[in-house]
Amino acid sequence: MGKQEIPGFVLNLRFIVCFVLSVVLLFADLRLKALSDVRYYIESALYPVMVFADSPRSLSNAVSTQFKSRAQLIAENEQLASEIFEQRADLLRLHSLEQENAAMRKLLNSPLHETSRRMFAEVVAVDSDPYLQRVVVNRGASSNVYHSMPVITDEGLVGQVIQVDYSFSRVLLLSDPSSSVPVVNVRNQIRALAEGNGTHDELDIANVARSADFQEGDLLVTSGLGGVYPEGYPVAVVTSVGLAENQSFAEVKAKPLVDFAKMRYVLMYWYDTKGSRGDEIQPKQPTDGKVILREERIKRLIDSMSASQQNKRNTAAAQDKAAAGAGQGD
Amino acid sequence: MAANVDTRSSYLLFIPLLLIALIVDIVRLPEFIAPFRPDFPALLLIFFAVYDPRRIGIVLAWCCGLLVDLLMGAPLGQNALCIALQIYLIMTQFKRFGLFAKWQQMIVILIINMLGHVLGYWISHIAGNVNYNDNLFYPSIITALLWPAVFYAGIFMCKAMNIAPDLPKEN
Repeated sequence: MGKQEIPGFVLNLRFIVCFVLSVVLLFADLRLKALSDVRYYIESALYPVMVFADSPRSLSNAVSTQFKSRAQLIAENEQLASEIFEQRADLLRLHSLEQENAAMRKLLNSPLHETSRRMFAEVVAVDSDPYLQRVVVNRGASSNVYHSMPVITDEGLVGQVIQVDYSFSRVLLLSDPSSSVPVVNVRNQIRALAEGNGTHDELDIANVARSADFQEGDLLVTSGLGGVYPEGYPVAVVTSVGLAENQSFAEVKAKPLVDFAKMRYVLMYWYDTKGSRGDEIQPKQPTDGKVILREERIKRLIDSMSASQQNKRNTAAAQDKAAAGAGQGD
Repeated sequence: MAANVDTRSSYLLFIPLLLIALIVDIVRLPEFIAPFRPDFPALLLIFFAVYDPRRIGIVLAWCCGLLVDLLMGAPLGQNALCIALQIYLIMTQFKRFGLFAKWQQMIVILIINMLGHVLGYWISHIAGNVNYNDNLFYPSIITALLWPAVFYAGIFMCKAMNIAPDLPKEN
């Protein structure tokens, strides 16, 4: 053993080199964001490895679907058919409601909401780093996925895309410590921020005043502020409200509606904040109440001024006429 | 030295095992065992660093750590530095590691792996995406418990494939 030892200073030197390289890479990656192109190509190349790593799960799923009995399939089919029937009926009402909503929004001078394009995606990997709450889905730049795109399921909001590669992208879950979502309480329209705290089934509602009316069981939906998430998607349900005397804010916890541990399929949601399509009905410029009042006052002022001028002119003309008449008369 | 003529290089075993370890590292586990996922790349690298330190050392460990970073989506260099640190500590502070009893080796690996995790925690903290969770050290315990199995399996595979460490040529 003794003769294969490498001298200590060589090891030290190697470790120092590795250390310096790591620090440089970390700095370049985190602060300068200089490596995003490199990451894009390398990670796109590593995508097959991820798919392969996911194969035990997809294989077991495939096997379990193969071995479903005929009776089970028929029952499932019937159930699905009835669900579709009910949802079609709901949809009929939804269309008319949507039109009505659009008409009313136009009346109120608010921008119109458009139902936007969605795409099905499958979760192919979960980042196993204990500090990161992220998943990898199998749609990337090749399917027009973009950075900070909202991701939803049929149950509620999942998170947003934080990294796009050629054929897959990484989704930052709501429960990640670096994620926060502007939400609004459905019951009383109080705005708040839902922040992840790293556990997969809990969100912190930050900076809620102790007097704010939050109760257990309140539903929180996205408020649409911040411009990342579309408005009105359910996010979480409040699970506990703690009012500690020594703290200036209430400690509100909420449980996300989506179970991130069991999630298999997600919807990528194209959310166009600008509403840039030209052929849609354009609302009037939304204006503040005060602005309208001031404009009206100015208008009235101008009107009254022009009216008084008119009156003056009229009276002046009448006087002239009268004078002229008097002159003629004289 | 005559025995060395028909032996094979450790890379022949190391590279396939590394691929398997990387894949095991990112396989989706059920939620209740996911916090206990052992650190297979580190175990593999420690084994080879003990078995064949001339071929597989700190720099290679660092490169493998980069692969882990890329697969996990961690900041580039985080796991690389952690694994390189573990190998460095084994190679400099525990030069007679191969001669220790198995339980002593397990304790050494437990401590070193914990140090690696603490370093990773610091880096995440500096990067700004971190929260403290109590099960920070469970993976290290599982990693240490798995060490004898990895060690004997590794020795068995090296014997079966006729792989010998690279010894310096003398006289």
